[in-house]
Amino acid sequence: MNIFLQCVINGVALGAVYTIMALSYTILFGTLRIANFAQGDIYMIGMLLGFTFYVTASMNFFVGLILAIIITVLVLLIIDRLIYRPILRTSSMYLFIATIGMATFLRNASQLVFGSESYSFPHLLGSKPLQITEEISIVPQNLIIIGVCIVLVIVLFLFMRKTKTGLAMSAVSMNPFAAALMGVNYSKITTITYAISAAMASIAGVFTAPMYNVNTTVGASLGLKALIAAVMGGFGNSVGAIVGGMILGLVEALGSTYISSAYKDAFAFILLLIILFLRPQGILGRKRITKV
Amino acid sequence: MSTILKVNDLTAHYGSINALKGVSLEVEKGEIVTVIGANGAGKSTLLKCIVGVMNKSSGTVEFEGNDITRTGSDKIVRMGIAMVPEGRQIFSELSVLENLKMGAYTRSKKEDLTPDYDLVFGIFPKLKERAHQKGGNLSGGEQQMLAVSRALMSRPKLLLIDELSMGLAPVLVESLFDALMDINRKGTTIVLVEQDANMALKFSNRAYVIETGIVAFSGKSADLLEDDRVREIYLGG
Repeated sequence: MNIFLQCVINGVALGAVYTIMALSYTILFGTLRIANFAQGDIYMIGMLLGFTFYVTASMNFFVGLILAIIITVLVLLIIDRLIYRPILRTSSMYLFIATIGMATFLRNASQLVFGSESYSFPHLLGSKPLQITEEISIVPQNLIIIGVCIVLVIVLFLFMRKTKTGLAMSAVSMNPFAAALMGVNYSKITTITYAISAAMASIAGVFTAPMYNVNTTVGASLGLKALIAAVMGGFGNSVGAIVGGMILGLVEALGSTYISSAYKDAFAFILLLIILFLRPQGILGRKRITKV
Repeated sequence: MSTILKVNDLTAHYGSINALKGVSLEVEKGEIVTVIGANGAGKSTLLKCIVGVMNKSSGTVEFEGNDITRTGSDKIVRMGIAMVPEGRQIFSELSVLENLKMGAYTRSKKEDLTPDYDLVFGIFPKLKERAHQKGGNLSGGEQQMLAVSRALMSRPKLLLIDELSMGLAPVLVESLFDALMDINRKGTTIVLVEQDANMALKFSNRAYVIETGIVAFSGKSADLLEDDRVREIYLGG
């Protein structure tokens, strides 16, 4: 029982990371129908910028965090303006390919900037596990990550439900044509959506940095798994992203303990296959009815 | 009377297909003008060009004396043109109230929308009962009421309506047209694109007949109702 509870705690912490990243994918896809495969590398850039400001430049953590967020957002906005938007004018399939190319480009370009070694990022509240009972514990950093995830989810949902811009983003996601008729500026909504997406990815990057080896390849597998979480939950559905993220985190934690940790990375894909086989639209996704 | 809308020799293309081949029309303030014509004649394209959601190939559009030919739709809506699109295009996952709120998107955040809600709920009491239901769960007629109300929320000077009657029962269409008369009396100029020529001519001051991208003829609606060419093609003889 203790082992199981410990797994659940670890799984929720892992799930929190997937959730934040799945949300950063799904907000882009839900609003603009864009699947940005470079999202994991946006996360990586956020992490390395956080490392640069907080560790290398020894800045205050929060100043470094905010700088990392701002620069990461700017990077994605520039990518959108210079690459994604012009390509989207030709075809969404080309954009899809371009985002895959962008992932590789960002990974390699980051090596030029940050170097190819692995760095370690200090735990913010120390690395000594907090004992919940004698046999169950949680690393403070994981507690922080779970807290950050909860705050981000609440802020995001309040923003989407309570603000005019959030409502306009929902409107664009449902019917871009009608939204334009309401006077919504699609280009402005696109920029805001990319900014939110990049901000979430960079926040995830900085806060999870102590748990990983900080290097330029860190985003590749995490980005892919978070994408899987978003698709499992129902791509474009925010609640689905949370459900998908948490399920994936729990399955990985439980699977690597009870089955084998050698297959840790395989669980995500097996789970994806099973869920898509049973429910192609994802757990909370709606069936898309194409009108003829 | 002053001219509120002036379209001059407008052309537009879908890819290589020439949808509008030089359409000119004028609308006076306070009028109800209808544009009738067969499917694919270019009526919807004309409205989309006016409100700025479709690119024009040549020609000009003037609204209250300002050239809006190259103006973006977000600015055009702000200037005072709203459109009820064909097929209603309700935000299906948003509630009726949220749909209306989206209609008021161009208005200032500080403005109180209560008088506007009262206005549209006064015209369409049914919507008030359904205020918290999702737009997608309304019936076709209710959705059309919502689409008209949503357009009114921006307080437009000029209301463009694309196929008000499509897919609705005749009784309902009649009451929707009555509502439009009401809206018009309160000061909104209306341009109405319709396939139901009979209804449209009865409820409008003037009419333009569009055939394959050009204005075939135009005139007072009452005269067109008696016109042999119109009767033969659009009113079933």
